[in-house]
Amino acid sequence: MRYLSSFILQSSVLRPVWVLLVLLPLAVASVFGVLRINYEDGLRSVFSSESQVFQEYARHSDGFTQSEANVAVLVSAPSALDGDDLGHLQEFLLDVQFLDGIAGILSVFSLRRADQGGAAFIPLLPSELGDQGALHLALKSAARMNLTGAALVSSDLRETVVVLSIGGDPSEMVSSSKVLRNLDKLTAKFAEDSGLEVQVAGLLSVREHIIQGLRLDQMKINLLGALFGFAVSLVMFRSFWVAALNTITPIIALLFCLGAFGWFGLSINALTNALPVLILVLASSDSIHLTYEIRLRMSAGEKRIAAVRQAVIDIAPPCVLTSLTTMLAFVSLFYSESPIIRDLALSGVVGVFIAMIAVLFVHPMVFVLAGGLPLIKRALPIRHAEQGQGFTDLLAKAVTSRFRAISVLGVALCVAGLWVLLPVQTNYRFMENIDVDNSVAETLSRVEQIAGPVTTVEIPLRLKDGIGPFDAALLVDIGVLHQAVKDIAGIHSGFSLHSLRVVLSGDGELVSPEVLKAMFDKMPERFRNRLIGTDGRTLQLTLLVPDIGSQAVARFALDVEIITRNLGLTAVSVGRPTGFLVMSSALSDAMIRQLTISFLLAAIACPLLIGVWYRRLDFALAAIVPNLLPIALIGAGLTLLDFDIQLTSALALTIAFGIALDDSIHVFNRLHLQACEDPSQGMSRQAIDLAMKKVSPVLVTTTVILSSGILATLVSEMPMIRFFGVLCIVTFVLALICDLLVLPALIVSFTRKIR
Amino acid sequence: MDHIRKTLLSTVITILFIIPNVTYAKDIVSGFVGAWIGEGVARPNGFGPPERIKCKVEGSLSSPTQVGFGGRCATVSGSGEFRLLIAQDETGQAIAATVILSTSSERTAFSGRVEGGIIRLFQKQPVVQGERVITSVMTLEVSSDDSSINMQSVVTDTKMGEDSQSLVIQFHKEE
Repeated sequence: MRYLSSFILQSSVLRPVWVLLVLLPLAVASVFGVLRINYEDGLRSVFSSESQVFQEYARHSDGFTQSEANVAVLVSAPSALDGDDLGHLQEFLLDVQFLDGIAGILSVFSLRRADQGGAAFIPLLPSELGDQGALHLALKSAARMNLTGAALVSSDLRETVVVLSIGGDPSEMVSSSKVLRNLDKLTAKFAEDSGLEVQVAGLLSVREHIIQGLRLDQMKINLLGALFGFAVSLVMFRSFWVAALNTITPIIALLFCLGAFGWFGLSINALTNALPVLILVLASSDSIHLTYEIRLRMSAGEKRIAAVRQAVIDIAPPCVLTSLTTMLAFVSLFYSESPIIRDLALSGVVGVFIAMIAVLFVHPMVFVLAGGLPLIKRALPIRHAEQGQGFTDLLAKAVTSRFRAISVLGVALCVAGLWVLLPVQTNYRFMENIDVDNSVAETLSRVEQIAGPVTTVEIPLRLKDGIGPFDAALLVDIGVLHQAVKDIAGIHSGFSLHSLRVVLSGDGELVSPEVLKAMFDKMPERFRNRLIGTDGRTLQLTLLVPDIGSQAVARFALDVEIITRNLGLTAVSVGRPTGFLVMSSALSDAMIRQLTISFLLAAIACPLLIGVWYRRLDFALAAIVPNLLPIALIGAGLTLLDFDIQLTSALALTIAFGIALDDSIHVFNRLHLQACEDPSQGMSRQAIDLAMKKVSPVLVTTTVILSSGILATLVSEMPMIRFFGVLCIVTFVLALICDLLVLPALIVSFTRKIR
Repeated sequence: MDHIRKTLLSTVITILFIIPNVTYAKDIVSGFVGAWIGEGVARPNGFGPPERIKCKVEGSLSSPTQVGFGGRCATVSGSGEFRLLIAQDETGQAIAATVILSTSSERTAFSGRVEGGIIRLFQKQPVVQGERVITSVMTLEVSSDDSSINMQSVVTDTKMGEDSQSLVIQFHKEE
């Protein structure tokens, strides 16, 4: 650490212009790096892993057309759809198939019925759309018909759903985004020409909306974060120039961090979205500690350069330590198997490291160079007494005099919180990434009202030896399966060769397997591939099931597995339920549990690092409870309020723990500095009172800075980022309270015990 | 000298006979060159209820006597790729064609003639479609200014003796 401080003094303090000359090209390179940043939702790769559940899902989904690549177009008329409306719809359907990337369509025009002789299947809708009476009857039949388990016309005949299959790999959002943009243009033209309301929805649209939200978020959140940081600095330092100087370093740290993301290929996704503003506020927080120390020393009469020099010597070590503990919290996330969480861990480590370097080298340089300007020079020394010094003095004395009671209470609360929190109750929904009142979500909800859930559970059916996909015995078996699962709560409908046979049979006797095969062969390949896999030996029964949360889905999948296990089927072996919904439900639970272990690793490693850094066991022990307590209380609160622990909460609590430790470190650093200055005082209660008196105003300031910066996440387009922000702020505030009350009490306790 | 005159005369006569035919034949296939948008009516499987159809195709010469005319066609029930390969003989009167559809693995071969500027193509082999045995006749007419193509197809069920106008598409050059 001594070498680092010496290097900073040699460069930023003694040769600030050289540092500036190095910074300028780096800043330019960073601007180009920012332009290279890749935005992706990352939600599909959240669960990608070597786990058996994911591998089963990947193997199965490779063989079948994926429903998650479907986009629904909802067409609404003010009254029942008429010939003109459907004529316009025909026009749209013809045009949309020429868009690059549209691989298939399913609309009310795709519906078929047996002709009068029963020899052939003809379109349900009449060729002549002008015959309103015939059309009305046909639309009524269409509203009752669910070819793919989903109806395509609403019961009031005002709305119809067109399902478009997007070709290519659904995880490749770049090409899908292009298709969706072209589709938006075409639907806008369709709406204009027809006077109908036309909206696009689907999981791909949700993901596209998230990506657009990420871009907007980066601009809004970071700008607001910087403005809030400046405003709080202004209030705290009561000087425009000091607040301005204090804002320069965080902005440079943010620029370098985003630039590095661009050059290193680290993308901004649903999880890393809040990372840049975290970097901004962390840099602000560390900068404030340095600024405060510089002003304090200048007020005591030290010259500016000497004050900066001594501030670096005193404050650089805790800044490094706070960065290391935050990096450690991010490193603990590498325990997760999820690629997107590992990406977050890497981005976090890179970002915090860059912020640390920026604070250590840029902030002293800013004060040496800009602080020399007469206007700023006059503003630097503190000209008024720090507010609240009297209160913090009283508080510190009150705490240390009741250290036993407070320590016991803190430990008891921590144990109680962990008791409620553990074992962790997890929950996950794909749609938690988007607001329910968002237009895409609202359209999706309207589509689901007509067509049923867009999320599915798939049951793999492996043909036994000697059985073909259209054998009568197999069709009977699938019928039995349908019958067995239809009463399980939550199922909207099922879709398989059996249900297709039922639909084609209308109200009459079931069509023969030969007729079913003849009809099946005439269907588009993507449609056929939803029933029979590419290997020709695996079929699937698709159950349309709403996304009711991971716990409910896991229970549902278990129910299906139990019911289908002992049906005594002869033609087919029934596999375990799979699909994105089942896989994400199972793995989100495992992943959140992994994050809990990540948190526990961080909770052990960070105090250990503090102990090693200061070579004091009492510091290490004292750091545990004040920082674990906020997390335990919030986790217990979420569990008691039935929010359970979502992916966002698990991440927020781990990262916030790493940041919340910063305050404790500054307390330890102040005590350490005092002990160095006056070894005779040691860790007496008076020394602890004095340290708390000095450091408390800065802790309050940095907490306000951190919280106000994170407050900017409340304007995020994504609810999970807003939730992340709220959890971080609550953690910071609770951590401050714990650092002001529990930490000094525990230091007194442990110091006495160890002594 | 007389021998030379006779040879020259016969050469001129030959050229006078051949050149117009070759030029005419070249005009027939070159009429398909370009980007086209077509709209019309099609009957699925030849005898189904009529459905609107829209096509976007590209015509390009693969040799002076061969043209490929292919692209994507869509009805309200679905879409698929199609490709029509037309080749003419040296006289320009005899035409051979092959239709390739993405929805079918089989190629349908045609042969025919140019009559009064209209290409008339006859399916070489009937195909069995369920209960039906089907053959078809396709006509292609390129307008004199090469700005439009009329494509029609009539299918015949040779078993039941039924005819059906299965396809009528009017192509216009894409702007």
